Amino acid sequence: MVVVSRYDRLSPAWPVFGLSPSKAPRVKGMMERTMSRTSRIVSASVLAAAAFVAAATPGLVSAQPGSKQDGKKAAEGPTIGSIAPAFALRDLDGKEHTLAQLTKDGHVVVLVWFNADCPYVKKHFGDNKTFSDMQTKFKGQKVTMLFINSNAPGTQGSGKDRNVKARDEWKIDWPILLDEAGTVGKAYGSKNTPATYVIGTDGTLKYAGAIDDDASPNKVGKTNYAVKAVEELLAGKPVTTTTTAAYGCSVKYKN
Amino acid sequence: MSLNPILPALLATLPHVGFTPIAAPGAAQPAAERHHATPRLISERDTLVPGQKNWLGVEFRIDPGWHLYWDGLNDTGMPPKITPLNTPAGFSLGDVLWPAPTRHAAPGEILDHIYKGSVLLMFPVSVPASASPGDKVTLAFDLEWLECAGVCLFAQGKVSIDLPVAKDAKPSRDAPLFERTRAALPGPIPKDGTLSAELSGDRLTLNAKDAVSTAFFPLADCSRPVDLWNAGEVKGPRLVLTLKPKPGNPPRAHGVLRTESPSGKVTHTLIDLPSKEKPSKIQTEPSPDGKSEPAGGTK
Repeated sequence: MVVVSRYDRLSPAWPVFGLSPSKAPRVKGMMERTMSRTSRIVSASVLAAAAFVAAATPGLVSAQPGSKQDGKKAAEGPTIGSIAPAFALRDLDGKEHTLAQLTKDGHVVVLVWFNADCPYVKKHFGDNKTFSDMQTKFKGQKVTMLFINSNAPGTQGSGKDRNVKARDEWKIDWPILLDEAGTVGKAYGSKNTPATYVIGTDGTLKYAGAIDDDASPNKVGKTNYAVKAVEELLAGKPVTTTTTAAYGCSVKYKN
Repeated sequence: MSLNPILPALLATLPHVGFTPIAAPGAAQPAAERHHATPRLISERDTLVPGQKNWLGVEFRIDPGWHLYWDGLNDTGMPPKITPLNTPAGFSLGDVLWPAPTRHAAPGEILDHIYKGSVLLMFPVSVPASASPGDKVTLAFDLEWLECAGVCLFAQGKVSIDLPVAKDAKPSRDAPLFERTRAALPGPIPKDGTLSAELSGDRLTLNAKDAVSTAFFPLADCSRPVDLWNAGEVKGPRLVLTLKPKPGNPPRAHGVLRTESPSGKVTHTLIDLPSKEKPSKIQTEPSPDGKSEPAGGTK
């Protein structure tokens, strides 16, 4: 499935490469470079790892893996204590969110990978209010909670419309960031939804794993690991549970 | 002593072998959704014999393009859950024997182990010696599973089976399926030396003579292999994996080895190291000169 209109409003001053309006970019590797400035992005071409890509529509692509600049990222993603991969992604209203700015502002950041059609994500909405409870809990504090959707266009739960619908239906109060090329998801080693990461004010990864302690597709757990980690960080204490096994539906990466 | 099967009122209305679907959570209507895997509860015998084991199984027929999950180490998904409902007094149930899965690699280095087509999840039910021939017993189970294609759907349902207690065992028409499934279950390492498995520190080395391809599927309690995505399946007879046990735990290699011969024959072997076998004859006490005898017989 191809989205035709997404890139119509690309800035012509975009320095690294041009995008064919008829094909979405496909990211093959972090360090491979584009052929030429005017080459069209077709399925075989690649993005430079270090370039920030700014588009005027949701779905920015920008990720710098923390220490893995030399090619293939480890399947496990960044380790606890390492610099969390940078990102710059736009939410459904087109507003950009960057980790750099959030860290600069002294925020603890919670990232949860999102797919509104996944039973493991759905269970946290409706009768359960896992995520909106977190928003209420940390209201007014320097905590930012973000959903990231790395599902490729055409796959389950993907696309702006589907996510807007979910936001409206469930009254979601976290920004939902679209990462359709999957770069940020892969940088974090996120494999399923709702995989959860917590980043400290020093910009390092403090927690990676499941959102809570119930890995079933229909029941919500008693312990919310993200809440626990954020509370410990706000109190200046070390995080006691730094990793758990993330559960959920697979992230539907493009490639 | 006669047996009184305990039945919830709902189950009493079910047919002999029934499946009652339950709508997925979050559905607006209580109507059952169409599932992409159809379960049925079957029995290896048509009778339950007092004092003997009978094998039951949930057979899932899975729609093309869809899959269910194995009960091993997966990045995503959930294996089918079979929960007994009101097991009659005196009866006991054993663990499910999980057939070997196939490896399922998806973009993003996502690795799962799945079932496609159909799968029989069999488990034993032990019949008490006190069961009376002529009694009818109903065994009912709650099923939960995750079925996935590009999307994942959570499914639930109830299955039950009525079986008479009798003095003699009678194989059912599903008995051949039980036999085939049993024969294909991962077996022990053969004693003919064609296959070797060694766990040395955190390094697992698997060698299958003449195999054109070799793959390892870790079970849930296996120490997590590093880079299973790349290293978990190789062309050729030799597979080496580095295991990363949880802090404080010794390395454990527990999983299914899949080998394919040049003629295309696929074999599954259960690997469980370190071996729990006690050396039968070899001494491990130090000999008088201070050196201990090696327990070489277990490899």
